[in-house]
Amino acid sequence: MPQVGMAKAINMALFEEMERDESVVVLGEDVGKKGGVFLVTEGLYERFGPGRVIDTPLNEGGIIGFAMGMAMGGLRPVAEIQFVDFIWLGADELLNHVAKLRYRSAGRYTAPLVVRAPYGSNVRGGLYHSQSPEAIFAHSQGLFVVIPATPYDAKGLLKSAIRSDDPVVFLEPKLLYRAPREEVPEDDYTVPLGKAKVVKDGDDVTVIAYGSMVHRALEAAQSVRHSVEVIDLRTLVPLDVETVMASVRKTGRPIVLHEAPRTAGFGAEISALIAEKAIDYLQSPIFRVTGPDVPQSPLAHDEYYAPTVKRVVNAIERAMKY
Amino acid sequence: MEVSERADIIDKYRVRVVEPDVFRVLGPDGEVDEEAMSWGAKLSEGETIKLYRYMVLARALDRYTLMLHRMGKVRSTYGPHEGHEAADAGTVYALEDADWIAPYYRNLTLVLIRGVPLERIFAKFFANSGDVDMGRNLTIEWGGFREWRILSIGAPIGHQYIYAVGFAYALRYRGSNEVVAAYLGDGGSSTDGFFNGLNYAAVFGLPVVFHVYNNQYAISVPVTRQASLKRLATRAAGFGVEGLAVDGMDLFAVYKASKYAVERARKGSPVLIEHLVYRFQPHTTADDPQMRYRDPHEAEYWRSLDPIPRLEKYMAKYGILSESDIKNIWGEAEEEVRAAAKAAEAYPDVGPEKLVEHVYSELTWNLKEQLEEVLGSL
Repeated sequence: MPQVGMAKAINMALFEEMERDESVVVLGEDVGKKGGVFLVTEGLYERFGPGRVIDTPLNEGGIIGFAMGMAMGGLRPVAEIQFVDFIWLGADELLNHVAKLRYRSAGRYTAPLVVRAPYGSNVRGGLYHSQSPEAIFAHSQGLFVVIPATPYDAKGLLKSAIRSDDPVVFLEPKLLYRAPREEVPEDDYTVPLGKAKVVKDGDDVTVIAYGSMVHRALEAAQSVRHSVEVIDLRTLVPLDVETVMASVRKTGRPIVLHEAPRTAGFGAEISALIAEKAIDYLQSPIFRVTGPDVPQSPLAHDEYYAPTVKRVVNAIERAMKY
Repeated sequence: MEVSERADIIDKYRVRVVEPDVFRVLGPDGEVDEEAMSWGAKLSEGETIKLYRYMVLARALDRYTLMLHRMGKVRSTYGPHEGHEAADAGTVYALEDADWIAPYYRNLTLVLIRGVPLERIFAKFFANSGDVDMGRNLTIEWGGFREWRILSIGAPIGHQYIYAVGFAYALRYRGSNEVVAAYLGDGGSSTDGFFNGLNYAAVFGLPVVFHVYNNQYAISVPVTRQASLKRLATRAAGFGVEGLAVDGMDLFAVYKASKYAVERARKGSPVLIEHLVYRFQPHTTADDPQMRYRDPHEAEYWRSLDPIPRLEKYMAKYGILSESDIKNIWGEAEEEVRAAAKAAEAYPDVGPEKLVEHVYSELTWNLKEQLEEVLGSL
C-alpha cells in the first residue's frame, strides 16, 4: 500500500470514480493540463481527456451553475473551487439553487454534484486563501458538508460523496495536502457520510473537531495527563449526533474545536446540541476553542490564528479544574 | 506633450458595434411584410390557429387569476404575463418535443403549450396538494414541471442561463441531439447568470438558445438602466454569440427567428434572441397597480402592438378566422379556465408532514425531531 498525503488520496478517489462511472466529470480552473494548483487532479486530463476534465472560464458562479446543469442532466460532476474563499461568486448558484433544487421541485429534479474546495489557515494564505466557511454551508438546507482529516478518510469520503444523491460541499484542509502521510489502499473502499469517528478513546474530556484541528486535538491529548477522547466529525451535515452525545455522556467535559471564527461558527451548533441533549451529564461548561472573530487569517498572525496545541491544552486543563 | 488627432490611424483597432434593427413580419394592423415572411420557417394556417388559441387561453388564464387573486384565493403574489404570449408561443413551438426549456417566471403561454394541464397550474396558484411542487413555490416559480421537459427555477433569476448550459453539456455528453431554450427578462440580462451562460455556451459550443424578453421594465426600473445599448441583443456579440432582435409581439417573427436559432444551436452555435415586448400589467400583484413609474402614453403605443389583436386582425384580413370564430375561441377559453380553477380548488391542503420531505434524499434525524415538534403544536 502506498504512503500518501491527502492530495494524492483525493486524486486516487477521483481517478477510481472516473474509471468506475463514465458520468463522473471534473471541472474547474486549472484542473486540466496543470492538474490543479495543488495537483489534486494531476494525471486525470491525460487519462480521461478534455471532455471529462474540463478547464472552465474564471467564474465560480459559472463553475457551480454549469455543474448544477450537468448534474440535472444525469452527470456526476465534481467541481473544484480553487480556494473556498472564492466560492462566493457562486453563492447564489450553490445556496439558492443547488441546495434547494430537490425541495423546490418536490424531488423531480436533483443536482448530485460535489463541490471540492481547499480551506483553512496556517499556510500563510492571508485573508483570501485561508477561510473556513463551513458553517455557512451547514446553514444552507439541502447541502451535505464533509471535511476529512486523514488521507484514508479523504479517499473514502470523496467516493461516497460522488456516489451520493445529495449535493456535497467537500472541504479539504489544505494544510494536510502533503502531510501527514498514511497508507491508503489502492482498492475500492468507501467511508460513509454522516458518521463521525472516535479517533482516540478517553474518559475525562471530549474534544470534538474536524479537518486539520483533529491532529491538533490528538497532539494536545497526548501532552496532558488526563484521559482525552477525540472525535473527528468527518461530516458536519448530516451530523452524527449519537457519537458526539455518547462521548459527552461518558466524559461530561466537551470542548469544541475549530479554526473558523467563533461567533455563529459550527461549534455553536454543537454546543447547543450538547446543552439540549446532555446537560445532565455535564461536569464543566462547554468550551469552544476557535479562531478569533477577525478575518481569517491575517498573515502576520497566521501561526496562531487557528487554535494551537497550547490553546487546546489550556482548554482541557480549564475543563478539568472546573 | 503633443497629441495627434489622426483618427484614421487608431480606427482600425477600434471595436465596431452595429446595433441591429428589429425583425418584424406582422404589422400592427395585421398586414404581412411579404419579404420578411418569405424568409425562414413558416407556420401553416392550422398551426397559427392552434397557437392563437393557446395565446387566448393564456390571457384568459392571466385575467381570471388576477380576479381570483383579488378574491384572496391565490396563495401568493401573481405576475401576469400579458403581452408575452406571442414570444412564448413562437419560441416554444420552434422546439422539438424532446427539447428542454429553462424558463423564467413570466412564461405562462409556454407552460400551457408544453402541455401542463390548466388544473395543475391552478393547483400551483392555490399551493394545494394538486401542485406538483407540493405548494412550495410562488405562483409562477416553476419548480418541478419535469414531465413537460421544463427545468426548475427559483426567484433569484439569472441562474437558469448557466445551468441550462451545463444541462446542454450533459445532453451532448450522452450523445443526445436535444436543445435547451433558456429565458430571462431585461433585468435578468444584468445578472452573472446571463454573462456566465453566454460565455460558457460560446466557449464550449453548446446547443442553447437564449431568449431575453425585453418588456422594458424590471419592476419599475427601465431597460435604459440595464444597459447603455439600444438593443440587449448586442450584448451577445461580446461573447462571440450570434444575436438577433425581434418584435416579440409578432408571432411570425418570433417563430422564424427561434426556428433559425434552434437549428443553429443544434449544430453547436448558441444564439441569443432579444424579444421586444411590453409588460402590460404590473410586475406582480404586489406592484403599484397604477404603475406610476411609467409614462401612460408609452403604454398606449405598446397596446397598438398587442400580439393577440394583431393576430386577430391578420386572420380576419386573410379570411382564416371569422369574427364569430374568434368570439367562440375566447368564450371557450374563458369557460375552460373557470372549470379548471374550480376543479383545482377541490384538492386538499398539503399535509404538514410534507414540510420536511425532499430536503435531502433521506430524512435526517434533526428533520424528524423538528417535524415532531411542529406537529405537536398544530
